[in-house]
Amino acid sequence: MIRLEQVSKTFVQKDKQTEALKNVSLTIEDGSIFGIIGSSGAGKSTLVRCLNLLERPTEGKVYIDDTELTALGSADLRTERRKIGMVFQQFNLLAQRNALKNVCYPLEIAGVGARQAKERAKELLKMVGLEDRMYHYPAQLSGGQKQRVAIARALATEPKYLLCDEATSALDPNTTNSILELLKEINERLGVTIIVITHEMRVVEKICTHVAVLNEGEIIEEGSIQDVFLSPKTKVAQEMIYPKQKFEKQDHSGRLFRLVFGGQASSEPVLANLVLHCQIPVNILGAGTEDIGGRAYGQMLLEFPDNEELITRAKKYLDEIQVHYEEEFIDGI
Amino acid sequence: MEFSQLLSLLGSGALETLYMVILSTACSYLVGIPLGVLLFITDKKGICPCRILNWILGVIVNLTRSIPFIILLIAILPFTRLVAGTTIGTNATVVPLVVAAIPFIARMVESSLKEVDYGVIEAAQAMGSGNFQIIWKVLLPEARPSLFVGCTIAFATLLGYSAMAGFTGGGGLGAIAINYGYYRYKAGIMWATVLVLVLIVQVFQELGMFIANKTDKRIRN
Repeated sequence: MIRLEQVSKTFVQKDKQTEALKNVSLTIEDGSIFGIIGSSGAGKSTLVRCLNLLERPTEGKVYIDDTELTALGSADLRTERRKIGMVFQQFNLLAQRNALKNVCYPLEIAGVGARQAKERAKELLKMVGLEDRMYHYPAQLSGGQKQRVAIARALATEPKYLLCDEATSALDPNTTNSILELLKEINERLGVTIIVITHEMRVVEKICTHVAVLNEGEIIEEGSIQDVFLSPKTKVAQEMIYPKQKFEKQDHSGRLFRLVFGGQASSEPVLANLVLHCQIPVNILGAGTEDIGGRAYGQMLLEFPDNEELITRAKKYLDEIQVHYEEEFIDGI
Repeated sequence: MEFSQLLSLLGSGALETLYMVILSTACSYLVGIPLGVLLFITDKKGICPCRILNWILGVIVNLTRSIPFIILLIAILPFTRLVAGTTIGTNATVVPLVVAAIPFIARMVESSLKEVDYGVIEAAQAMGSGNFQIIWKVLLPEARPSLFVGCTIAFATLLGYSAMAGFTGGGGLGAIAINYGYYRYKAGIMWATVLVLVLIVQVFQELGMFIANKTDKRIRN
């Protein structure tokens, strides 16, 4: 379990102060894949660097299991860091070492013998699907392959936790998917708790079990991925979750409803029934399908006329067929 | 002077020059690398920031670097005598060469280390590396190609300095050029030594770049 208690981080440059994190408290349970999402400048990278103390919080405490990292001396901190693997957006591989030697690095510094380190590194590279690229240098590998080497390297010391700082942001969509699959497999097979930092909702949707939304250094929303996806409470979360088409239309005279289909009512012709049975002229503003925690969800943003009677009828129908819906009051985003 | 005499003169001069320059490059790197590393890590953005030490080292390095070599050569004659036992000849020339080259090399090592991607250092820290492990296993190996390039530059610079040492009784090609060309008006011999110097620089430059490129794994060969 990773626990942050009232963590704040303030950067001081000349006479300017920047509050990157404000009183962040967070508990990450073992075995979960925890997503931390936010737009750029929200403090995500600072937050993840506070987890292994690459950045030391100005205030607050960081616990890994029962050890308070913020109270450790540098030697103990180094030992503790071996329990926390980390992968980066820019891979950060040693350019002058081949893939195998890169994976050997953390073992070397942990004092593992050369032969043993090599065996372990080979196993790991096999696991990430790079057994035929072991002797290639980073410059000879594609982005996805480099990230696989980085993941193998991060797992070398058998960490309990894996921090991913925008690990897929430099990769194309297909490669992103394959890396996300790999992370999920690592979580399931090795039981490694994974913390994913990203600005992309699809990354969170695809693999995370829990999510926290970070905005201007504060956690404004947190919960299981289903809960946050079904009913995002904050504007920032809504912006990230809603179908993008919606934002093109600005002048809504009616009222907005967001319907989420979890698959159970898919045989029902919902839209047709809204029009035919409830006699509501619905306007589709946006729609999309998302894969949330391995389950397909559809969502649709509809505009209903501003008529209380019609809307009561629609709500009743939606309740009957058990389609999740909520009215949206956001205006002019 | 006969041609064969000229050849043997230039040959022994070239050997003396190579002896001085290679020895002084090697000696100055022995001190220059640790000094460059220290400059790099004690910087405020380094892995072991220490403002006072960084400032002191910086001032010493800059002071030594701003003294023209020909002045330094004469100024440290007592020190040279103390170390080498004499102030003339090739061994005596090595002393001022090393003194002049150390700060220069330290700066070049520092700038080579600055080329190492900070993300890689951060990754090493995240894996639990200590500062010494970062220097030894990350910084120096990652900067290796750039360090080789720096070394060829240092070599060529020291070659030029060694020729200047000819004025104060240092050996090698510089002494020949000055004794024959400047004092005895034998321009031919002077130009011949210049030609040999050019050849030496050329050979070492090519060799240095070859090693730098060959060992740089960032280049796909």
